[in-house]
Amino acid sequence: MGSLELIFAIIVIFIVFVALARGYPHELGNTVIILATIFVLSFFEERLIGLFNRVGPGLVGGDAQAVNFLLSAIFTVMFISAVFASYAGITLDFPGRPMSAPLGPLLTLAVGLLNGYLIAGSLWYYQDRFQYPSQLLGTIQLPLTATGQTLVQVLPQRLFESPVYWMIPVAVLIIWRVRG
Amino acid sequence: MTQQLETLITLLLYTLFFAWIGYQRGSLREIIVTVAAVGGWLALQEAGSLLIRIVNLGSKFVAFVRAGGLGENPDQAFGALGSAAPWVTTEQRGEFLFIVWVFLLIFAYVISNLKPFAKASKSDAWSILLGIVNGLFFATILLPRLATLVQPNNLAPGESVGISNLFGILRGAFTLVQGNFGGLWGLLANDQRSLVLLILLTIFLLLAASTIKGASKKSSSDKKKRINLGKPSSAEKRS
Repeated sequence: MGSLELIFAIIVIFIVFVALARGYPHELGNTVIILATIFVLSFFEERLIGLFNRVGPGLVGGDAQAVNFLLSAIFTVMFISAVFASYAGITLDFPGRPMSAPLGPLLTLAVGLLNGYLIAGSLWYYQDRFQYPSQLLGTIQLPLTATGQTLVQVLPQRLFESPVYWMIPVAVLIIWRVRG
Repeated sequence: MTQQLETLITLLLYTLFFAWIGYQRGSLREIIVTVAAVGGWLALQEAGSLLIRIVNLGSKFVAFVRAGGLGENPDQAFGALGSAAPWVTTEQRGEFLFIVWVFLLIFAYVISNLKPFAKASKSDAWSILLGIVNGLFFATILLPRLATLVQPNNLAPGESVGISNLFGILRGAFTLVQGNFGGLWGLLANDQRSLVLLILLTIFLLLAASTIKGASKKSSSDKKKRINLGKPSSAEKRS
């Protein structure tokens, strides 16, 4: 596999393409769900890790790598489930028509890039937080490159000191959505 | 830092000025100017020598006529062709092409102000973008010449300004913006950075949400429907 930032750049590009197909009124709904998911998972992160550190060794036999692998998998699956739910079925979106070109597509691109950063960045965070357990599967090439080391410092979960910060844009957007 | 900031503000003012002009004039009028300015400049750079040759043919024709080439005995006049001085010399090439380009630009502005173009020209985001493009292109061509007022040796006589200068200006502008924002970012403490990021993110999302059209209309019609629930309509009353 290639360097880690390349893999996550591909995820971002993929999400941007999805955004370009859907338009930013739909994508903003996803942004709300993704931000809320980041808040919930960050808020309970330490508690969940603490709980698992008590219960986990009994389950996986005290192997630190296995514990990290399991924790990373749990967080990743929870995050992906929430993101998938935001894209599938009846979704939260902002009703109305998007702006016409060039501002509309530019806004779609910007919101798509934001969603891409939030999704790919969160997935990367759950790898970095638990010492890259995916390298056991051979899907990740370590050590990180210089770019990778820079990017790892600006992952979504590391932007704000408190996860509560994430709820501010969520609250503002929900108020806007309800207000119409 | 201070000088950089001054340059950044100047660049922003310049860009805003042309964005405003673009918005005032509308997209069709601006695109006519863009095509004339960029297309004309590129064409003159590529086919400028041909144009100069055609112009210089005129000097030969005048010399031929003056020597009696249109008279009864034109043989002697052919001798005058070789000694005719060209109107545009190699040294004057740059200045001549620049003047032609300026005339082309003025012509484009005059044409684009004609009624049919003015009527069909819409003030939208494209017009702003085109205004900025035009402004940056004019800066590419005109700034080195204006700079000779304060720095006479900046542009050598006959030296031409290529299209690559535009990329130089854009690269310089990008570096300038990056340097200034990087400097401002460095002044902030970690907790302030978080707050700034949060405010920027919230503003961006709110702006994006506020540009969605028709949402309020739909919701207000929904409200009316909800309010009307339970009340008989006028048609129902009549029946």
